[in-house]
Amino acid sequence: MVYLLRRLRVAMRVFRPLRCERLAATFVLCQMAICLTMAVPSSAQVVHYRHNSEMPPGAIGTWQLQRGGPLPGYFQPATISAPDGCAVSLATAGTFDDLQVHSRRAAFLIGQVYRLKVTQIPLHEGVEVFPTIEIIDRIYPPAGREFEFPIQIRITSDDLRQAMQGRLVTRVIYVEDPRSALPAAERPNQQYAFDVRKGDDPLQVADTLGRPVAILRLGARVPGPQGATARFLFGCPVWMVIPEGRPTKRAANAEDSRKVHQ
Amino acid sequence: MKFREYRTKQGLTWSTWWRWTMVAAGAIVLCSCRTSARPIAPSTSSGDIPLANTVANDLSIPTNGSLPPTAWSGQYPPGCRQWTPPGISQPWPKDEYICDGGDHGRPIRIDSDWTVRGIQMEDTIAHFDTLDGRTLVKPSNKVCIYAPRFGSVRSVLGADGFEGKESLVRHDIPTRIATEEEMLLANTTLQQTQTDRAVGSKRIAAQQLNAPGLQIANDLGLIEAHGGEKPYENLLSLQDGMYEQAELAELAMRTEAAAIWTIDKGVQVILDGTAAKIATGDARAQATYAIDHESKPNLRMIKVASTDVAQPGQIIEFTLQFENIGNEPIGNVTIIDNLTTRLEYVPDSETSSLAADFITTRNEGDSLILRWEITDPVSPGEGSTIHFKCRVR
Repeated sequence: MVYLLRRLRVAMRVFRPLRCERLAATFVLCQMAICLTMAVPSSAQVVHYRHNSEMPPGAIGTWQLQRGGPLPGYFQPATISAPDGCAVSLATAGTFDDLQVHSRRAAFLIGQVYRLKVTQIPLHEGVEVFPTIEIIDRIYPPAGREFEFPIQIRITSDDLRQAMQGRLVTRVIYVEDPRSALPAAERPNQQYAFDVRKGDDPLQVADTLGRPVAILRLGARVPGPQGATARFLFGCPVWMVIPEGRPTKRAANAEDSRKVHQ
Repeated sequence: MKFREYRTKQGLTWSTWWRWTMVAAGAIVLCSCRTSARPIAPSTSSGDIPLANTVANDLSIPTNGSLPPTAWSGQYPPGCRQWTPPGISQPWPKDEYICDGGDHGRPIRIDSDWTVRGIQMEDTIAHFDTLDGRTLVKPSNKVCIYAPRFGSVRSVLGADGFEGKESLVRHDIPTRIATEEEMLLANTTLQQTQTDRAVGSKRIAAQQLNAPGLQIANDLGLIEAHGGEKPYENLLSLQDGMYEQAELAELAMRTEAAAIWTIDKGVQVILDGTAAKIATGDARAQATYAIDHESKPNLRMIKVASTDVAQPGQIIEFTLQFENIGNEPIGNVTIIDNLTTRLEYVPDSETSSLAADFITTRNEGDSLILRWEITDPVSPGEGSTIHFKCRVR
């Protein structure tokens, strides 16, 4: 033992004069440690999701905006469709518009929460459901063709029935990964949807199947006796009307103030 | 110098080479380290297979009018692109595009019995046999079509449970034991059946065999043969191909006019499309010409689509055009297109300008592997155009 300590002390003396060699050796050892750390397989990492579907409306979109990139200020086109016979209204200027159509096409800001009103539900006339939609990501179609590929947000009859019974329905819309997409052919006005198992987070399940882009929430919450307040409407953020017919090459930005509703 | 003496005195001469060995080993380890998240550059591993940009440029060359002018080669023209993050390979984002073509992952190889190994979905390749017995594989370019598809998952939260308590209730009803007996008498039933079939036999009445007689007649006419050498061709080198010293003088006299020819105006010899070089002799009648034949089999395949964007349910027409750009014929040319999951082949929609056997096989993505086996060898400069349609799922 005494011999080993003596040898170590002598070795330290030997290294002391060679400062450049010592620095080089230290640098090499540090680089080797970094390489070994990077060589750990990715499968050993545990995925930690920062978001879950139970976060308050608007929280996920706000986090997404903080990532940077082309998200802030972009109006993402979307189509909101309800069962035939229903009327879908969008909040504008502190109230709901009165368009009596079951499908709406509009462009929404990412990160904002938009309140809707669904009325004239078949077999439940007189009942009103107030869903919310939140765009949490965008898609990137070729320039000038943004309006041809809106995000498809579909409200089913079962969604409305569950909401009218007091339950909270959370539907996460995602872009399917083509390599793992279902091979079945899609028909018009059809979207593949399924329920997650009890206890599973739909946002995490959607993240395994593709890229989540929007969240639809339906519940039994209704405005108070004083009507729809600004808090109930989440500040009534602006949205933009999608022009009908063949879209032009104009990008979906908020340049045209005449078609922006606030 | 003092340090060396000190080190020698302490018996530590091994430390220098040991340290430098450690530094060298560390440097080797550093040089061999790679990061796993390196940006993917456009693949150029396919040798002379053109890149997508090159393919777009190649479309401007004459293609016999077989490709539509609006054919989509997979790349946007400059100035017509959407925002993309720097350093990321195109197209982006990949989950919004349906891609088909190229050779992904491990390179495809062909076994001796033409079994294809390593083909994956979205792959489009052609393999062919060369004159020297090799089997080569050439992938096509990659075509990406913008066709996003949306799905949704749902969760429903609410009070679904119900818990209740009920008291026990006892219910007692006495019953009497009852016995029931049933006596059945034995009986016999006879059924009379009549004969419903008669079997008979007949002899052969007559058998006649008529065989017409054959008459063979073969008349051959006289054939008049013309031939023979002209009087001025009475040379052994022209008759038997053998040169004799005695005829050299006469040959030199007859080729005297050719001796004044220059090299440019002289006889130009072309063998198999290649300019031959003189191997032996001079500008004389018995000069021998030869060519250096180098085997360069090659094939180029271009894939284009009829559109660059598509909605679910829309039909896209694909065009596969291949051409033998080598210097020798190639055989057993086989075109294979492994369709991706979201492309559904439209039955009976394929056409080929060359005769080919068309075979389809189900792949792991519940789509099809399209296979064209060209029946005839393809000569240099020759090619074919294949059209087929797919429906976007």
